[in-house]
Amino acid sequence: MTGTPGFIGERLMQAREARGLTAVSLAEMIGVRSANISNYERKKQSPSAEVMERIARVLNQPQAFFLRPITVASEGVWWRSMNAAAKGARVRALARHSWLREIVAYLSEFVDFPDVNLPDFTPPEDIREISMEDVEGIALDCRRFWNVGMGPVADIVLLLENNGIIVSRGELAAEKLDAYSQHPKDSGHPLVFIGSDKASAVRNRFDAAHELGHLILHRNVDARRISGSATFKMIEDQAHRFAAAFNLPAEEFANQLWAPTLDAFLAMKPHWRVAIGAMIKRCGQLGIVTDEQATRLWINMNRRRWRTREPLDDRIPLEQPRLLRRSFELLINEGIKSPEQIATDLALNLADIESLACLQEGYLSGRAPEVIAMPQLRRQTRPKGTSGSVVYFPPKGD
Amino acid sequence: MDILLDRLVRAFPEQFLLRLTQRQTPVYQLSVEAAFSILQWGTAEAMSVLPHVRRGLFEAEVRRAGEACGLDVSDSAHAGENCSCVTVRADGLVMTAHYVDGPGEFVRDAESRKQNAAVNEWMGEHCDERLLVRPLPRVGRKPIYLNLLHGGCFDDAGRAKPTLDPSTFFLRVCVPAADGSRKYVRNWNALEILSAYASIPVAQAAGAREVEDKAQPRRKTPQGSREKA
Repeated sequence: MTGTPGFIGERLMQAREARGLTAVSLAEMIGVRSANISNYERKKQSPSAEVMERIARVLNQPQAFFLRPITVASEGVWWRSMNAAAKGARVRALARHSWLREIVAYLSEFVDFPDVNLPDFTPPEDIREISMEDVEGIALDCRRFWNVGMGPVADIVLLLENNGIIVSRGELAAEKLDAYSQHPKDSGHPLVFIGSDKASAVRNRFDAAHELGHLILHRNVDARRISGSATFKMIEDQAHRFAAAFNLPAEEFANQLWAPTLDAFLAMKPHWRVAIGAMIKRCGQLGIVTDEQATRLWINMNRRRWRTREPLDDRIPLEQPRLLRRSFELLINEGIKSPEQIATDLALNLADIESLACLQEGYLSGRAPEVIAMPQLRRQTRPKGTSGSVVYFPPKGD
Repeated sequence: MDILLDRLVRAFPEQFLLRLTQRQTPVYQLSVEAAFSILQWGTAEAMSVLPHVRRGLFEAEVRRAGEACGLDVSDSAHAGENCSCVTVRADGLVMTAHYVDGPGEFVRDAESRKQNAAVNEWMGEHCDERLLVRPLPRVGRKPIYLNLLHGGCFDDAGRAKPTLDPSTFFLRVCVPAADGSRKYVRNWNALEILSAYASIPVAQAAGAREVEDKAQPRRKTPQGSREKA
């Protein structure tokens, strides 16, 4: 049996992980032994042309994808959760993140993104040296640096993109994994990926600010070297505090808050575009409410059933990334590349490119969005011999 | 959207009206308990005090809703000094609550209400909306007075009586005409107003600081210098 010349085993692993498949399940789907998959991935064996075709079909990638060397080096990523339950989602996201980086690298050959313009704060390498007061100050400095005042910012995603941070948005398929970020060494542009799973603008805004916190506060920290849940928690707490201080500057927020009640938070939500839960936490941080009052507010949120979905979440428009989308539009509109050339150059499934670059579905493939037939609930059938009967109500006066 | 309705939904937070809508039935039920809990009087007397209890309880509810939403709330006596009156102000609009017999019923005569209607006088002069621009211009420093009508009614042989049936409860916001005709130039159902909130983008209502769109990729030229996209 002859193999496929130039087959890249890491690509198989990448595509398999991006699709959320184990080696065993992929082996079952393409009709080989799981040991074969392992051998392909470790370059001990190369798939035959027939198996190659099945791999490409099952993993929904062009065959050229598996022959294209990986050009981006592995680097640390700031995850929102290191929870074991989210491990599968992290693996999947990391594989797709590599594709995102390849897309960014490809676009960088033809376009310049806005210059990276982050505040010149030199963070210490030892994160324990950063106090929460420091974090509050850095968040305010960041606002001053970008000249956005101390009130609510209309579009945080746009603010990040204006300042050279590349933002993408898509599904992460994990409850605890809301977003992640990375400042790759090979590209000057930091990357932020925001999960679209919760479809809440206020959550996404907080996520964007949280990742900005990582990019500013933890610039000198190698995410891969973080070990221990206590250190991870400290880093996350700092990024959370940064997001809270960036979204709700202490003085301005406290001045506008007339009463720490759920109704007041709700009335302020459209203005600040921050979740009510985040406002309760912020009030706790600023000493506006005691722990006991905060507990009562959380209890009342539960009673109003706002913990699962807050009011106005469907009314505040989502902030959409635009830099990658505009870059592809530029390539095509100015005749630099055709969609076919982009497909050949990147050797990636066009739907994946569209999704990662936040392009409209079908923009590159020219296909209309597919209508997926959803499984229907089985119709309830009445047991035999128990057909309904009409109950007779005698009219009044009978 | 109607220009006055637009002004209303931008001035008063949605939560203010939403809260009143949600609280109306419980408050009215409480009023029934209060009016009928005095054993010394009969049903006829209880029914006769029911509107007054409802009025009082709902006024308190309006005060709470206004305070919770950070609006300017004040208690004042009517010019006739017959009862208290909660007034809620928001961005040049002044709202007072009134218990009335029906959703189109004009509020009962009172000196203060005449005064309120009189300051809406300018609206008669500018009744042609084509002359107005958005946002509605303020005429001098005069505010616009609104009546928050609430009650429950049914037509019993041509007479409206206080009812205990929640399906007959109504909550409306009206703008009284200033010409003494005892009519409303606007009379909106609370649900109509709440649906108007849904039609205004939150971003527009929120007054958040806009971010200039500079997220533009630039095409690289062969020399590597930049060219504006």
